[in-house]
Amino acid sequence: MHVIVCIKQVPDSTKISIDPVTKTLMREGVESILNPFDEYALEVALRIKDEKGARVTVVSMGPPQATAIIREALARGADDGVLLSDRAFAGADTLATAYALTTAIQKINPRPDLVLFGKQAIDGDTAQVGPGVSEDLGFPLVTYVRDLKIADDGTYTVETVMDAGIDVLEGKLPAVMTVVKEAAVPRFATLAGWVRAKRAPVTVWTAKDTGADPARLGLNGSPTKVVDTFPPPVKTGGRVVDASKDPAAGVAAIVALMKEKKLGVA
Amino acid sequence: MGNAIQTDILCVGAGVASLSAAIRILRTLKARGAKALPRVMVIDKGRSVGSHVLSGLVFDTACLKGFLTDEEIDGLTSEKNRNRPFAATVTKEAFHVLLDAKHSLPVPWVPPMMQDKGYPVGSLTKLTQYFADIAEKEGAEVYTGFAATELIEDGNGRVVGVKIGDKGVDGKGAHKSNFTPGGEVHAKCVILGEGGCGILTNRLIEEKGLQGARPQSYAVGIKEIIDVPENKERNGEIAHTFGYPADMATYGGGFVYHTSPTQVMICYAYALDYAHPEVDPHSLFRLFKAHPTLAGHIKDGKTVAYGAKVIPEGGYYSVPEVVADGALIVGDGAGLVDTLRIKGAHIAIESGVCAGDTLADCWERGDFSLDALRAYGAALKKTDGWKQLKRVRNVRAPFSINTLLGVMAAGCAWATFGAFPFWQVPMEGDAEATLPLRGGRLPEAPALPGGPLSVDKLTDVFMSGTIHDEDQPCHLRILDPGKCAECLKTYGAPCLRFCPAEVYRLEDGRIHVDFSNCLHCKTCQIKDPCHNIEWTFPQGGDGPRYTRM
Amino acid sequence: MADAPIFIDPEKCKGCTKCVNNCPFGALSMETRPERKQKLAVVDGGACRACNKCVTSCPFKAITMVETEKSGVSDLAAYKDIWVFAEQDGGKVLDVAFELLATGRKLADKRGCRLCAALLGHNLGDEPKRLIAGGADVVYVADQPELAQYEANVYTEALSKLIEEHKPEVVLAGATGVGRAFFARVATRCRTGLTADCTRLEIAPSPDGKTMLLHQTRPAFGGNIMATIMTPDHRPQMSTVRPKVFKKAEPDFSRKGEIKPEVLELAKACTRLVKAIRDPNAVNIQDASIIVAGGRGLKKAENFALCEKLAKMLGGVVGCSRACVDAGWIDVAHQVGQTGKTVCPKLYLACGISGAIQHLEGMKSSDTIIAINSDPNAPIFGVADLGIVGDVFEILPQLIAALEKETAKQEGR
Repeated sequence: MHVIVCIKQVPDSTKISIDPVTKTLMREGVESILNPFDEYALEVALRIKDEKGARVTVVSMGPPQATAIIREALARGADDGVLLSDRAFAGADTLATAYALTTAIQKINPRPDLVLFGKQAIDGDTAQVGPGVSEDLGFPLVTYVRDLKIADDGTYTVETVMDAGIDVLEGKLPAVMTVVKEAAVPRFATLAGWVRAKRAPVTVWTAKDTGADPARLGLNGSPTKVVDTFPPPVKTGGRVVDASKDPAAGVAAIVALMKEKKLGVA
Repeated sequence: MGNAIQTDILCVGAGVASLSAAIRILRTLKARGAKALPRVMVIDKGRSVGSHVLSGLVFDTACLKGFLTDEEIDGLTSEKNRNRPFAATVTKEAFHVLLDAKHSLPVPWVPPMMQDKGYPVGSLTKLTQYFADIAEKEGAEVYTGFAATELIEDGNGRVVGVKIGDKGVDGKGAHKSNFTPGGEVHAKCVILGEGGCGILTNRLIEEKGLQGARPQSYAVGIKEIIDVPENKERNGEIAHTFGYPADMATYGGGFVYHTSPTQVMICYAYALDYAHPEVDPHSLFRLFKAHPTLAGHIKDGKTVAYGAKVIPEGGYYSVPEVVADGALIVGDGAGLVDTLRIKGAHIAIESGVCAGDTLADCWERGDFSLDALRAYGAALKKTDGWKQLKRVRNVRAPFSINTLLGVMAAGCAWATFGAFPFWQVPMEGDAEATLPLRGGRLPEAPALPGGPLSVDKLTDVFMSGTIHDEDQPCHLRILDPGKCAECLKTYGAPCLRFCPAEVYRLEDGRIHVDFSNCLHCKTCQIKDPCHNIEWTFPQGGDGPRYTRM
Repeated sequence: MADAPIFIDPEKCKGCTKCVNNCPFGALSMETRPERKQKLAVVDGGACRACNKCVTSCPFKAITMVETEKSGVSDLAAYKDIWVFAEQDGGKVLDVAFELLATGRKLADKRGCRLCAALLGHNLGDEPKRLIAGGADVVYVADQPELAQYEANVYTEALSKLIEEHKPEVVLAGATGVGRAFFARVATRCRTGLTADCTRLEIAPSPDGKTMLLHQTRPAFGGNIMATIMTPDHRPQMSTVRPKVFKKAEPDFSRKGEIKPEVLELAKACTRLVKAIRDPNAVNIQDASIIVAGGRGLKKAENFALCEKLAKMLGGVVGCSRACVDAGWIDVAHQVGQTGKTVCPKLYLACGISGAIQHLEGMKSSDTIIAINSDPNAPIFGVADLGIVGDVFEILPQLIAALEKETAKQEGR
């Protein structure tokens, strides 16, 4: 059994803020981390490995520094890792990213049993790359997986988190799945794991190595173009009503605002 | 344990002292053409390298000559290095004695022993990362997120390794689904570079009777980084202050450094041998920032980072014996701080270099015995840093009596190359210096300045980036909760105030510990008058996330 | 340093630093080069996000996007109409589809094209008519048993087939669990661009002015920056929009429209739904559109009943600050803030919450924030659209009474 987990290095976006003066993102002091949702996907893969002895391979695309997250995955117990790093990949949107990852997956193993993704990356929040890879690989897609049980014959039962509740689905591998937080508490890498990972080779592939069609990579292969960026409207304190002596005035102000914005009251 | 990780040298704490030792060992042996190189491991409890270090930092680069290459020294300040530790060089310096909330006395010339002109000024976090990169290039292995929680000794009392803290333990001590045992690391020699008030270091000092002539005394340094509107002229300007808001009987001072055209570092350090339990060092920091002498430096700025850490400032007499069987103590953990200049990074590096030299010799001879390790202690005493320490050996103590006395003593000490006051001035322990509440009750807290730069504690804590897994045993142990009531009565529970991270809260007459706010500064372990708080290690990787302190 | 998606022509760069100052990602910096007098802008490929800001801001046109050949579809003109994917659950079309129709109507009018709905399901009854009342000119309906239940792979095939056949210029879907999952796969099958979670959609001229394009604006980096995105050379232009971002229009059953039944040949489903677990009592404050949150100011656990009552009336859920969880008043599942959950409801009503930064970080991007607190200096007022200085124990009961009256008025009408 071979499980491939696609992971991404992201800026720790909880710490990014906009400089009020220059209106640009303040990046100083922002660390790069393994996308938290990918940690859950990796954990699901490692549990399959623990139970069934599967091989777990991680794949990422990014600048050379992204080897850091490959090593982190190796330290936790992944068997091997590949980083796609090439100027040809730069500026890729989700379509081009999915294509690039697909070419890498196919080169690693034309027929993996399972390809896992975190449900989304915290920097882009698109949740599109996993479904995109399922299409490019021609694998069935299962999204928002919180529990996965695989039988020896390759059939599986999953619980998926839908808007209305939990759907329990059955299917047969291979599949591409995206994983939610509830799926598993990620394990810690042990020091021994890190010692191993530090010295492990990380394969770095260029676009040529994967044999990808250059026209479908990077900016060239990205149908969407960012044409402008701007800071979001800044929220500043609004009106303050002193209702300490006259509670009714406060209540009236709240009801008026809720009516105006059609919140809870028609 | 059979599956312990084996290494030759293990450094506990990835600070500049440890990393210097790691670099030095490997470089020295490579230069000598050694047949085999030792395995050098460095571990740190912080999430990443430098995330638990904090300093000024005006850096005396003299210690790097002959240790780092010229190219590496250039890289510290070079524009080409996007992550250079130092983006400014001191261009203008001033020294003020703050008399009260409004007045100050500029010292017309900066005392020669404090002159910093020409030194680079910037971030210790980044300097540490810079050193870690060099160490890794030399072949050392640096692992972060792992806390060494215990020293392991063999039957003869020789330190042979450390135990790594477990991860994935819940608040009640039970194993969670991701429980991961920490395991052990065994080494031929352990270098303790834990920083000020190192837990393992202090345990070792106590256990082996390594203490210096005086117990260590500390100050807590509280620091903010403030982004200010661009002002190129001020880049590299620094000012040190002395006095207000400290009272005359307490050693307190601060600094403001313009580390880039848009960034100011501001810090206030307050000696923990202060007498009055109603004092809140963070409030003093707020008063300090609002002083007219400082306010201009940070005008229209916005606080973007915060941190706190204790500084060992007992100086010469408080330095312990730095060699034990199987272990060397380096850097702040050994109290190697020039108390007058409040500078320790350069001595820390020197101590690491000495340790490195010693261990390179040990490796070549295959002899890590206590006698062989003692060479480190001897080498340390020959360094410039040690000489500085000796010269100001009596500067600190007189301050604990009276500030003016301290200032006079400092001058005399300098003039007489440290000979004056001729005798070793005794000092009380920091916790013991705490007096009961005057009149048995808390006086009203001082009115704090308003304005966007007078940041409250919790907001500051947020800026520190500190984070702890909430579901783990509280790492700040109140040894006897029964004592708290007594402490509250006698001292007004000083933990509520001395903690710069608002870890301790009074709720319904009981002390509530918000350990997840902890900045790992250790003030509580040092200053609690009842010695009722024990700082233990939280899960590795937890704690502040300093990125440019 | 990674290679970058932009190229800076050293001949044209005059060292003016405009690009450095305009780059939202800090990817550009100025370097001194021995061979030239002025500094040269250099880009850090690892940081560059190809946002185009430097290209437009350079006064010397020294910066260009690295692009060698254009891909895309050749017959852009063949694609017409704006489509809305009308998601249904149990045969009932979801509100989000009507919200999209209301916006789609404006877009279609601006573009001068038809607004169409694509409805997949089984036993759909009068739902197509409701879609017309909601603004659709045409409703494509595939009403067949295989489509009764959402299944990612079958739905992908069904919608892709409809798109392939009818060639819409724009397709919109709700960013629901369903919409976000299979819609991305549809976009990949169509080899076109998809922009997730748009907060603004406009039809406006393309950058070269030759055609009209869908301008899609969405937050990026956790809402810290907004980006406007287009799909110039591929069709259809596809976007998802979160529920409640747009308002639906009043249904107009007098509207005329065309219902076009479709019969699709579909492959077998890859997964089989064996059970649907629905827990009406599950708390998920992150999905709630209204949150009534209580803080330390509520003083004790029993007082949360006030918040609960109000939340229930408004169809919302109860949130809280950390202090309340610490005090054991309420379960941690309700906690909002740095160590709790980050929420973004339409309405956040903070009762007795002072607003430490740790709490504000978790809720400040809520659409509307109303705060009730007795301390006029409470930081929560700094982010509130409406701040009420007063006693929560006086105001909450009165507010509940007032809202009850409002509801009664509504029902009586």
